[in-house]
Amino acid sequence: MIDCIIIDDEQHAIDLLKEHINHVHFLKIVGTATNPIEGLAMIADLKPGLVFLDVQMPNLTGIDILKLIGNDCHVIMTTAYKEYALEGFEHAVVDYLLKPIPFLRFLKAVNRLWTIQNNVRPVSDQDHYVFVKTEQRASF
Amino acid sequence: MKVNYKRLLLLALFSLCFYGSFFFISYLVNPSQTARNFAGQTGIPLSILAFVIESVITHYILIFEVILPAMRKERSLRRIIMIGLLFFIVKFAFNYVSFLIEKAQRANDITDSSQAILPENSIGWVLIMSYLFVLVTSFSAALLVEWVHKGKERILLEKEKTEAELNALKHQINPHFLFNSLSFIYAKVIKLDKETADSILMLANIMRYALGKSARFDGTVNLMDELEHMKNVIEINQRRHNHQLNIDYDEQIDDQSINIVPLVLITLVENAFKHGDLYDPVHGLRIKINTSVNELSFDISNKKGKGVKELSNGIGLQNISQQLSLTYGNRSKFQIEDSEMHFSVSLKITFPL
Repeated sequence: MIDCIIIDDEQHAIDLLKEHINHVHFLKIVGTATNPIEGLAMIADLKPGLVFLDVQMPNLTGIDILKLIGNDCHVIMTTAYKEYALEGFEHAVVDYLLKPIPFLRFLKAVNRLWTIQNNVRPVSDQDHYVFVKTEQRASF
Repeated sequence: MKVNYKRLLLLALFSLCFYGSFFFISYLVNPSQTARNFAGQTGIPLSILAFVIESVITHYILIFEVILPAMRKERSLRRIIMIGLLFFIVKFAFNYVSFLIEKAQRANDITDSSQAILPENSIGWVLIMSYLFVLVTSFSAALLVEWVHKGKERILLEKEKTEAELNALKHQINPHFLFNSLSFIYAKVIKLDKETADSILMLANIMRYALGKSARFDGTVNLMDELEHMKNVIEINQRRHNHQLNIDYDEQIDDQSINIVPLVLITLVENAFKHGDLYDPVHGLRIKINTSVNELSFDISNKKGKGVKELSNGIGLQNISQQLSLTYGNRSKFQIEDSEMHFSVSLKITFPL
């Protein structure tokens, strides 16, 4: 089971994610926040396994929060419009979802995390090298 | 002074034709005298060369240094008149001196009859007449050059204008506002009506593509993205009309890696939705797309509608054809067939291997 926190300044976005999460058996909501600063405190308190994080928020943006929490938990970014600034954070997050978020796209993102957590490593993450034993006799 | 060699070559060719026609007319009037007159003292090849060089220099200076700058107001009128006067004085001096030299040479040559040479007082008039003639030809050539130049400039300006309008439109729509609003409606509706919710997603995808940053570095997009967007547009139109539209879509994609100029195919499809009668059970809207290794062909035809339901947004067929020829040159073929009942467009692009 993965504990989730949703941080988004718009309540309807939280409602939609809640709806999606309710349909996935391995996800559990432990908290939601429309205030990013409250959300940050919530992350420190509850230590969730996954945070759904909006980018465009007043006072503290999702990018700021991402910098503050470091590698403590996994993050899925949610945003209305793909920004250039976001590209740089592509590797630090599990995935990012564009609003309105379709359920199937949501499922793909959380499934990715689930397979990583259960040590079912996707092929692309496996080591890219093999050892080849060779015997060679040089004859010039 | 920067000299444009293409212009010089063209002027030389023009002068040669001129010389030829003079020769021909003179030959028709008096064949026996012609060869002798044109050869002068130096022989035909040299006199042709002299004539062409003089004519090229004269026309080049008059067209590109005097008349065109005057038309475009690139130089002050006083300077232009000065250049022109100076040029004609130099030219006159040169012509007069060469006339005197020729006269002296002919006087030495007693066996030659002197009837071919003009009397001294009329040479002035002949020269002035020829200068007037040169002025008239230069002026008409300059007009032609300016006309072609203006046409090119106008096409470029129009293209820039549409691009600016499109950019202004993109800036007016705040994407954050738009997609957050769509997300809000989607969240409200998903528990009530699956199809409506799905349509909102479709609209969001369409808007995201149209506002797009999906273009590659050279301004093209992958064909598959463009087609997905096109299918979204078709699907949402079908839903708007209760799936009553007669649309026949056929694709045969053998090469998925093709990149094309964005929104060209879409505009053609949108045009058909705007102006066509798609309810016709026999011939509604037909779209056919084929790609092979280095070729894309796109055919679209529709029955014409009676009244235009939606206003045209001005980014029309002319713009597409312009954009295509600017991007692909003669590698694209764009044909419009506009009959009484039907309207069809056929587009073929060949890509270099």
